[in-house]
Amino acid sequence: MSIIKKRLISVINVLEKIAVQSRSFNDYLPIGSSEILVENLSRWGSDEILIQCFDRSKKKLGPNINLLKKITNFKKGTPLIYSGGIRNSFDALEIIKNGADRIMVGYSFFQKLNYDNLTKISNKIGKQSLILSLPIKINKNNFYIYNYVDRNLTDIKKINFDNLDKIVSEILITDMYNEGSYDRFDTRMLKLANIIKIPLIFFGGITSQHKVKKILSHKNVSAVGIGNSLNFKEHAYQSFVLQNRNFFRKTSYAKK
Amino acid sequence: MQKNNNSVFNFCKKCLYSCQHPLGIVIDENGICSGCKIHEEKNTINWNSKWQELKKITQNYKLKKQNFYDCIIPVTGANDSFFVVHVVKNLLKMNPLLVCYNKYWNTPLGIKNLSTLRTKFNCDIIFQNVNPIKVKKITKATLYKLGSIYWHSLSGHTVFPVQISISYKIPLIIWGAHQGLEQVGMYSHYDNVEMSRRYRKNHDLMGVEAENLISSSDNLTEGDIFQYLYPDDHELNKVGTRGIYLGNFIRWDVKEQHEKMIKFYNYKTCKSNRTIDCYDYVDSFNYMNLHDRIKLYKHGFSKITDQLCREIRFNRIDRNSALTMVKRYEQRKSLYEKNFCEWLNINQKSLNYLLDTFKNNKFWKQIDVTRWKFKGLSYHNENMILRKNSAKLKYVQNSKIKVDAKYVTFGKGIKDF
Repeated sequence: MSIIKKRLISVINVLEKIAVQSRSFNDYLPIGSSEILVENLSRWGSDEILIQCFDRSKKKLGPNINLLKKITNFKKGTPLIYSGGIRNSFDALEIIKNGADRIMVGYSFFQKLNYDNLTKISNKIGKQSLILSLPIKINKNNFYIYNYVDRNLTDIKKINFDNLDKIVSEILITDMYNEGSYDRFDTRMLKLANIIKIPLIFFGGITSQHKVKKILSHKNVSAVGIGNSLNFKEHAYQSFVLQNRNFFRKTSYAKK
Repeated sequence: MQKNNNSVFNFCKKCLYSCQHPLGIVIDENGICSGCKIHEEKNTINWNSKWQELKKITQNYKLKKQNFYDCIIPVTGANDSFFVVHVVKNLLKMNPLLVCYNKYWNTPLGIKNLSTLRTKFNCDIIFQNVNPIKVKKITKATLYKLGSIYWHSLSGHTVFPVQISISYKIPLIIWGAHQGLEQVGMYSHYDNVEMSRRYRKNHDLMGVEAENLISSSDNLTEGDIFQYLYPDDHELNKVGTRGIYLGNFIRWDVKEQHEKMIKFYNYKTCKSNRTIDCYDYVDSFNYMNLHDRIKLYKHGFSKITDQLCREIRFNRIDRNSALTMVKRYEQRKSLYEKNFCEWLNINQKSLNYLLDTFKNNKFWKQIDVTRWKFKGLSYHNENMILRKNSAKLKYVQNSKIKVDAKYVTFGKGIKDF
């Protein structure tokens, strides 16, 4: 029986001017140029690339348009999601104009659970181009959104996901405690896929075939995001695809 | 007194690196750089368990028939070559094929060391001698375009082993340490990072692969650069080529390792004019001279800073003494430039003029046409009391290169050492 193919999203974390490995978004190791990473992932046949410039909101710098302009020359048709520093619909439009295919918003929404701003962005660029990012921490089996700028927690129950369904196309759930770890993604996060009817992308500490299979077997999960470990080996992306060939489309260089 | 320690020159509190490192570096909220943090892993890792991990990986590549090669080791006449061959041949009991890219600026010492490698370890070695006319054309192009004389050497050294892996169908390439991990903590030792085309382009080749050179230089043709082209992804995939780094599995300490190699195999070392380290790059006339001068122009620090950051991390020198040493050595004369000008057929004045155009104005202030003031990392890193050198760092110097020595273009062995 054939199943609908899911996506493997390559995640590039950017701190200031360089791509970095991130561990729980507070410990970073330098990797190099974002442009060359994008070029490499595109050549490998990545389904989609997510650029997360996570210091932009904290430093109130707005989106990194210069980086985006450079990157788009290297993506060669690979769909690109941009995230970081997005404040309003004007920023969102600028990002799309400068080569991103979709945008991901986090802080500007969950800071005040501002649906209006999110609706304006969605109206401007279309629901299909908008993803909501929710960094999650689990405490005593309760789910909290972690605000990485103010470092406080918001109970996820405060979000009306029925309203969001009309505004965003997907939600990226990041396991905050385990982001950047070797396969320590907390599978309790999958409970969210029962609560939220919007397609989910899971990210943070997902490195093994076993974990990928467990996550993607869930009907409401559309993709997984892999970050650090794509930088450790040649053809790392293709290896993930091969290990989980039932879920992903074949890449150009994957073995039969 | 501190001259400038704002975010532009944010220095690590432990070593001498700043956030201006060309490989990229992250300095955390406590003022410690990613390189120093990753170095600390060397003191906590269970290296026995790592060694077992390495044995398990390499076991899969050992051939049952002893008449062929188990792996490839890229070698030069210096650096980690002896130690890597020692580990692979004597400790892992593998049969390696040594491969060496001829950079043409070989010192007699480097040739002697290569000869020792072949004979004392009883290994086969393949040299890649690219047509010197092409090498000179490429060197001219990269010098003008990138301000780099070393692009061809770095490119050749990193691509030749991969090409041999494909053509001989030997999947495993064994390298020494990963430069990005050792210097700036690009990866954890636990990541077991392997060789990749992306890293090579980004960091070894300054973002410019061979094919990019043609588009940026009218003088180069495809025929000039084809020996530097990285094999296609399909070919790599078909053979299963992978390059592992021993530094992920062995507590890597270059100084200690070199001293072992001197003792065991009479590895030849010599003094350099621009550093106290006698072990690194003794195979090349240019690495610790002209190339090092260019590094100072472009990046505001020279190789001695890299070497002493390493020694600070191993607690063999304190930060203040290291900074004093750097200031003493980094602007010393670069030797053997006459040889390079003759080899490339350019005159020294033209070379100097050209190199001045690559002086990074973050680190150099022009006073007049010929005079510049250095404002590199050591200039800004004066936030401590300088004192006379109290360092106890000692290096074994068992040989030397004559001032009038010439490039050894091809050589099987040198008797004079």
